[in-house]
Amino acid sequence: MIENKKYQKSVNYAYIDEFTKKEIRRKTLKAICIPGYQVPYSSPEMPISRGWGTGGLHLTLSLVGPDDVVKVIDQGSDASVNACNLRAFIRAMANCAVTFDTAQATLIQSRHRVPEEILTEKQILVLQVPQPEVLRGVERHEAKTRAMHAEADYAKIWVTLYEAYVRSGTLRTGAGHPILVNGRYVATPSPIPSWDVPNLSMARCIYLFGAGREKRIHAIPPFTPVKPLEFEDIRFKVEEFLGVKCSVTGEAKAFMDQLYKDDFSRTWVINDSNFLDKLRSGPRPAQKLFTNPE
Amino acid sequence: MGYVAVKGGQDAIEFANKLVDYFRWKGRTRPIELEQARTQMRLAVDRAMGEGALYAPELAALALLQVEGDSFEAAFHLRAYRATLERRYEAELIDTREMFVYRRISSTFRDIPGGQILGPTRDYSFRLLNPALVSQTLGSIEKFLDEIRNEIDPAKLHEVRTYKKVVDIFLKEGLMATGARPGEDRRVFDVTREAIKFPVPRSAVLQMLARSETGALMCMAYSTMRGFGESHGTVGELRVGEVPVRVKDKRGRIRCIGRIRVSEAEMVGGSGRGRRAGADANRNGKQAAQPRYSIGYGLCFGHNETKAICMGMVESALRSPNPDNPANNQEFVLYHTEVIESYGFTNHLKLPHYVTFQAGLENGRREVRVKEEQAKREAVGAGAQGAGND
Amino acid sequence: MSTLHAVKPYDQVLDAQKHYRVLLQSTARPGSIGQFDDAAIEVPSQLNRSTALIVLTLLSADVTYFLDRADAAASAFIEHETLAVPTEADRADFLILADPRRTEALSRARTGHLHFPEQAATVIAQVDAISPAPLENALRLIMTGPGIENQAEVFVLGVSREFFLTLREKNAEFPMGIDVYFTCNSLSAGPCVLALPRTTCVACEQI
Repeated sequence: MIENKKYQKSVNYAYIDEFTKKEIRRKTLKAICIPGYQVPYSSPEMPISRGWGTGGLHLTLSLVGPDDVVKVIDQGSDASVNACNLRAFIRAMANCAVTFDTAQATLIQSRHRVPEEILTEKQILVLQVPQPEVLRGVERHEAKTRAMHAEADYAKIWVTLYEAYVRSGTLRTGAGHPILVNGRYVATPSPIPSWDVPNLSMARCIYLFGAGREKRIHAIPPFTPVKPLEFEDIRFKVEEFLGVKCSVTGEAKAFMDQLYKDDFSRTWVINDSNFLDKLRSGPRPAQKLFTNPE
Repeated sequence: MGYVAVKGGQDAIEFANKLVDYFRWKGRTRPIELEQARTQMRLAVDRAMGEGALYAPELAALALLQVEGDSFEAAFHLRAYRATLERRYEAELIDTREMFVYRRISSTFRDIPGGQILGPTRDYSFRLLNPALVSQTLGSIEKFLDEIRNEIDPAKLHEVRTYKKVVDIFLKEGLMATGARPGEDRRVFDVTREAIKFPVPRSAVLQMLARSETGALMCMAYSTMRGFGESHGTVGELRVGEVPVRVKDKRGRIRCIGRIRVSEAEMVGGSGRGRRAGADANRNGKQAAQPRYSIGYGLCFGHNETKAICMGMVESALRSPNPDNPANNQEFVLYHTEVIESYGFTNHLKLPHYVTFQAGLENGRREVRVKEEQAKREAVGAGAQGAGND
Repeated sequence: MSTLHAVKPYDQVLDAQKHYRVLLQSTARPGSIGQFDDAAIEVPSQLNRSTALIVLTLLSADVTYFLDRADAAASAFIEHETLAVPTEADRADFLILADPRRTEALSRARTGHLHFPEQAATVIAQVDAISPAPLENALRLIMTGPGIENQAEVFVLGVSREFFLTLREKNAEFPMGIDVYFTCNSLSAGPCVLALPRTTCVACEQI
């Protein structure tokens, strides 16, 4: 028979035990000291599946205190099912406040988007990362990619970008455009759209990247130069959404979601749910907008 | 339709959880008792403990019941629980020569010191479905247990003893390749405390294989038998039984804290792979003709022979790195047999990916635009040329 | 600030979390002076309160440390509170320098490996004062690099120019290098910290 005393009566504050939190904290500090470099860490198991945000949770739970205001978004939306789940877990474990309002948040955990609204020095953005190794697509083996980073040997990824251009006329197809951090390490910004990448450079907030399954943390401190990889004559460009307006607010100049109606016709809506809510009720919050070069 | 407020995510989760319970209970069958699961689904419990990396039969039984028998989810629950526990002690080294053996066989020799003990195994049964199982009653079970008890000869019980290892034969005859390779990392590593870096030390390889998903490990081992690896070894010894676990208390005294059931396989590898055998021979000053065997080692929680055997085969394969064979590639094996990571990541595809997809779509559209503009420019250029030639 | 209201007993969970946030912000914004909310703990005389709070926040049984001028009370404090393991300066994860005017231990600190630069040491150097405004006899530090918008100016008393020359040598081959935290007790502000991650360029002059 299972008696009650076999089960722990309470859970650690912020779920993770203090010993493990110290290890995560030490590694996070080292990540800040070496911008763009992936620091290996213990990555303890969580009650949430690998690949579903354990790395983001490790960072958030090692940071959070009862005075924090936490926002969680997935693909730009606070109300997405996985965001709801993570937010409820963090709130229950840390006894902190939660919000949908980007400006109110002190800690933001996000999957695959940077909020449209500019973040300040009072804020930390934690991004969930499925594959932290930016070179994994060109080199399967961890031992080799580690050596490539050590020697700043990024030839293979430059070749991939050039080949993409030759095939398609654009530098990349998809999210997660590789970035050069502080002029030394090439890193992944996580699978955010190119639209979001310019936010990372010379920012006021701290960016932390957590890959739980792969067990790596990397960081971009504030006021750090971050350049998307591009050629002198083939430049980095963000998504254009030409001729597109949000069907709810009538606005443009934000990353858009495409929605299909029952009759298969297409409408567009601003992806960042809190940004959209703010546009509906007040002035446009400050953004860092990027103009595509010719 | 227009814009639909994407609220109600929280409600959706609550209803999803209710529906899971509904699907469990709508048949209105009697709840399964924990002890029933623990004793009558013994092998599922043992597998969950091994993959969950936590020796706790009752909790493993609870996990299996809670997740309706899904082996991935059961292991997941145990791992998550394990991660919350305090680490108070490190066990003293366990010597499986102390094992109270249920089962012990060797394929390498026909007969071995102490004898072959078949023990509880289905290996030689017929895989026929047996409906009689459902008509067992507590009464018929008691009768069956009484029959077994009556077959035990109390006079022979004192003969039950621990068994020496088959591997001792190799050691005694000087047939074992012994000693670490130069520069081999002999540290005891804990993968739950430190992220692995390649090449991984042997202790970390063994730890990860002991926690690996049984099916994935089986896939790796099987591949070595079908040409994606060097020839497989034989079962030097397979043991299943209970071993005592001891720790050192604060005053330095060694205390026994209980017994755990484990499966252990010592796979005898091919005799000396050319250079290494020769090198070993030269080092020991013996004639080069003496064959040397190496052991691929497998050990896991509970009664899980497949895992122990496959672990021994794969551990052996990993000691000869070869990028052409998946099973000879440390990164391939260790990353892809890790049950929680592979389960999580393959299933994570169910999460929304529409922004990533959208970004790709936009790029694709730009690609088309660029090509159209290029084609237009070329057409104009050709037209202008044509005009010039007139 | 923190000395004005009653100081509560040290909370291993919540104080460690608050102090970690201060360390994170200091490391992310070199040149800013971090201030810890003090807590009631008995600190041995060789360590200042800021050092003690950092030790409690970051050290644990799986790290090694080195203390210059080994002192029984300070070692007992560190080992009892954190279970960290004492070792030599060239092997320690954390170097605690009570007297950063001497640079011998600093010059031996680990700088990590090209493949694993995070394996470098963290140095906690105790000074007499850290200030945004000029202090007599202090060193004036001009800092640039990640985390600093243009440049930052800080005054530090109790450390020598040799320290910074040695530091520059240690950090000459980025990504290898060491990360430094200056700590002091301030009468007005309580325990303070100034971070110098290896990415920060420092020019110093005596005023």
